[in-house]
Amino acid sequence: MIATTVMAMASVAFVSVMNFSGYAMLDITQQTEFNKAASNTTFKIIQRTRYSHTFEVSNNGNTLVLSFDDDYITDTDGDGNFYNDTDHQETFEYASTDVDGSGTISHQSSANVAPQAILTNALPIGSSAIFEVNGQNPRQIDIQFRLLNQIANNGRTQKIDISTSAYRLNGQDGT
Amino acid sequence: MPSLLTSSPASMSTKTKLQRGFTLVEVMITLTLFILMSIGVFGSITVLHQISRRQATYSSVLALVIQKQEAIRADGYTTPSARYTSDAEGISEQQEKSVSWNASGTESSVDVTIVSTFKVASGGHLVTVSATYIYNDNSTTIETTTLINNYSSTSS
Repeated sequence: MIATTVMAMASVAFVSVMNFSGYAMLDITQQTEFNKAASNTTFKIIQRTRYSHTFEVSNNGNTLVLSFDDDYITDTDGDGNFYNDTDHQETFEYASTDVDGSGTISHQSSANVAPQAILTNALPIGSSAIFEVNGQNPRQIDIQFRLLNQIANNGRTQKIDISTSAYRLNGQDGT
Repeated sequence: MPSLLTSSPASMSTKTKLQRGFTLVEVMITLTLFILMSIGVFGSITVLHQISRRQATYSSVLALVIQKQEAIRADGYTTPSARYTSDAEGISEQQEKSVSWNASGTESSVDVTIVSTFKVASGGHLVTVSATYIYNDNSTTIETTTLINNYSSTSS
């Protein structure tokens, strides 16, 4: 009788440990995935911004449009400058898709048919905009976003905050 | 010749033995092994969890390091200047930043010290950006070095 009771308690403990382990592994995997996705997106935006000659941010700070001159030998727009033609544009756009404000950051080149989602579970940090042109440096775009998720039936959340800036090296100041 | 339908007393005894349950001692030994194994699993998972959280902070700080490197690049390269001297010792700049914000984005939990050093080198200046922060009582430093010159910078 005692052995049976102990065995039953051990079984309950085993189930609890397995349950905890499963959620913990999910938690760890999700966090690792967040770290990788946030880093990749950040560096992609920084790299693309570096080679653009002009950029534009929407009023709500959700859209960043970068313009590129793909052919520096040809003055496409005929303004006398060979570096500032807009041969193609690339757009990074944050779109809120969930009730808690979390959404997707997508990337689209003007050569692409449809935008590609590069980040999910993204949302702004507090009241800061995702993209913002720096007031003191017209070459600088401040980027701030957070990845946040909570796996169902799991009390813990996975989170990463990114607060950085990208700089345009081409083009002229103030353009 | 013995009949196939008869059974010997020895085989009946074996059947009786197979019907025994676990003794308390056997259960206790199993339970002890299970508890030891669980402690190991808990420990491993806790460490893994801390590593993944630490990696999140690392990624956030790395974004700051890259930001600083890009900012220096965007500032332009002119020699001689306050940054880009011919002095072999070079010069350093220090900056304080924060990462890992609360829900409202008003308070941060990790302070980062970013130090940039500029040293003359062949073909330009070697710029090293290092960020040091403390997370869970552990100090971590992320460092990158790049060559800045007229070709890799902008003429602002």
